Amino acid sequence: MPAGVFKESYEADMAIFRYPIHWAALILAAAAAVAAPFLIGKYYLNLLVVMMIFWIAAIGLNITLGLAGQISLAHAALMGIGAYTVANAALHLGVNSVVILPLAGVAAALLGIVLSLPSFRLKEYYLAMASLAAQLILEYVYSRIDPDQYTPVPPESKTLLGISLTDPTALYYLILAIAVVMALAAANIGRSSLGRAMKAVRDNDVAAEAIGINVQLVKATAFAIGGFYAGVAGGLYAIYSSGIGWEGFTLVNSIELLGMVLIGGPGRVVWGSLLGVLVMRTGWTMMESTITPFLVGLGLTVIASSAKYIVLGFLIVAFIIAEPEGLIAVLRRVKEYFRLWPYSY
Amino acid sequence: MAQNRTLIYAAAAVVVLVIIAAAAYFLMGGEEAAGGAGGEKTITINVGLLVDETGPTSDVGKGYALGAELAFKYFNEKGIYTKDGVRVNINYIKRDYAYNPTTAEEYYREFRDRYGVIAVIGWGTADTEKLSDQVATDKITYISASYSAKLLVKPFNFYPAPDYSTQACSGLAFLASEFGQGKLALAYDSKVAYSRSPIGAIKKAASALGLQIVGDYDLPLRATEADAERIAREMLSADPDYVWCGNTISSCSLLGRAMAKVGLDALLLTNVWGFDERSPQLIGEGGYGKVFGISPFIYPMFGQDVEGIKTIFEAARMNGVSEDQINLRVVQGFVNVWLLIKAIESVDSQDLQERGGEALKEALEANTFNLGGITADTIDYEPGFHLAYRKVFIIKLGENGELQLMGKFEAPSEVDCARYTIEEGG
Repeated sequence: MPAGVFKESYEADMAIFRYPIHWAALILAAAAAVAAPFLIGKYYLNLLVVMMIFWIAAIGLNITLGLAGQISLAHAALMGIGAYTVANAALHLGVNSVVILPLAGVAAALLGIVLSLPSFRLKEYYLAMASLAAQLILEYVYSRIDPDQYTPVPPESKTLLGISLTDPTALYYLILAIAVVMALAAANIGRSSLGRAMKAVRDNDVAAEAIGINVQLVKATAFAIGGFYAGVAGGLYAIYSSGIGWEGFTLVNSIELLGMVLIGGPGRVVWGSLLGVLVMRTGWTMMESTITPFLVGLGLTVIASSAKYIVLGFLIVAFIIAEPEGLIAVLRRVKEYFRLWPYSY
Repeated sequence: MAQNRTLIYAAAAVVVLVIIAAAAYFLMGGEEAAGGAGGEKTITINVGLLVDETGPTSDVGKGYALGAELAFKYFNEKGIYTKDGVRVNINYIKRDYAYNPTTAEEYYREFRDRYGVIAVIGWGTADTEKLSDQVATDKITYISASYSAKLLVKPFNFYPAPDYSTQACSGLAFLASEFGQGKLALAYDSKVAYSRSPIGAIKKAASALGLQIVGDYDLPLRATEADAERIAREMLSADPDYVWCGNTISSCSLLGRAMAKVGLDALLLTNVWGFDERSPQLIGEGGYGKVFGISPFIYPMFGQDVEGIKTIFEAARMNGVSEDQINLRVVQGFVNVWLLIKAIESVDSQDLQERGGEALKEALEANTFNLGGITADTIDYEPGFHLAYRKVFIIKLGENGELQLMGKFEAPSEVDCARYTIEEGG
């Protein structure tokens, strides 16, 4: 019996699921995901739905930021494009929300390309400032086009093959399927020549250009793909929600998405984003439900209103300083420790 | 570097521990119901309480939340009984959504799916309007602090007051009758549904009210002194006789102060959330004699002998709250819960348990309610059209800096501002 895992072909070496534990984890995770609606109540199912939507959006930002190294503070605004596309198509044209979903992604991808234009000339925090401006402009536009501070999404537009998606179980399975497909696609982008080009641009764009990579095209593609993911996530959010409002796509939401990527693991597109979403969304919800009321009860309303932002800011700074590779790197070290134990030296 | 890293890990561990502690509290369900009195048959119902204590309307939201909580505690303590004599214990679940409609929807799902509430005491206009169809589907009675006219035709939405449009038209009709016809400027936050709510109706009713609209001015809900001064200066060129402010007390007070500062000699009338006992101090001497507020409810300072106000003071004493804290906002929170209690008292226990929100809705539509004389008129909902009444109190910031009750006022019946808003949007 050989000691260790040996790969005997290129396909085996490049496979996403390479070790027996991967297959075991896949089967367990798939079983848990399929069984979830029968194991948890509607409330927790809705939380899962929101987390998967944010996972898709965070994957998009992780491609733009983590893989290609292009800072974007306008990702929530891109989600907004997707959400408003779905909501308005359903409301004014009577189009099925699921049918319009790919178009929501394309609309956000096109806007992503526009947002990529400053990245041809600007880097790092100058680029961050440019994307900040885009975020604020789009936020203003959304606040003006919402007829009632929100745009309703008609429930009759939320159907798939005759099944109403207002039923949380049906919506959960739809979003789960979309999230898994998009996560797999994103994992493969990272392994493709495009992904390697993005990493080259991220690490040193001058060197990348010197070896023949079309840097501008790669940057535009990174923004477009990131935008597509954001647009689909926004469109799904419109299907989930009874109505969308500009308050859901503000700068704070963009920073929240940035926090998910930085805390989870920039460059670790699928698992890093998932970890970031789990930590941020769970912590966020719990803080709003417990710590904020506690501080309000003490009369500290100013601190209460900003408590979650203080924690978010602290976490982002802490991870940038202490663990720039995010939680996924911590997990990797833990995994390595157990893999080598008891002969860690 | 290694030492820094250790410190940062330690700090991160503290944050994680806090989050875990919060999680434990969260998963255990947060606040729980008090037990019923011994020996009595008691049923417990869950009710959601959606408030803004930290967001852009927290200047009025904190008082409202206090009033609603006082009412829940007081009536739970005193005893709430259904028509057939069964005691009802209300387990209220409070959530601060910081005036973000997206967050409000998340909390609504939590109320419905996690706690199975049969009623919600709500807050803002955008979130209440957004949820109104869902509320009807879920058959959850929703008593909001948004007096939006659009909610009048939503089957499960109620509030114990005239709508914003009817209130505005009554207030403006009062000004026109007292001070004559004139030019009117409108200051409101154009991206906020609450602020915008009565604007269409005011414009449509203007000529019938004896007013000529001279302009819309975008005053942010979270206005700064500079915003207010800029708007006041812009208004100078239009030279209005009257200014309508459709925001909450902070920005309306800043506008009143700015109008005096720039020498704009117009009378300022504010929406119900834009004026209360704090206004004399917030607006300052420049506004004395020139600012008016609208309210569907009697101010505690004018209602010392009103039975309902006495009840609120009793609730405050019982809960260790100083009487100084009882202002219009506390009254607004209290009456919303009180209306719910009245509805519970009008149904049978079996009906309440089996049909929940639907039974409460029918009770609200079938009865006439008097909340101890606090409201400007008795509350009488018509099925399909939930306009409680049409009268409002007008309060003036007097020349001496004290508030003066000008009495009750109602717009002429041919000026139907609620209908204008429902038909034309707002």
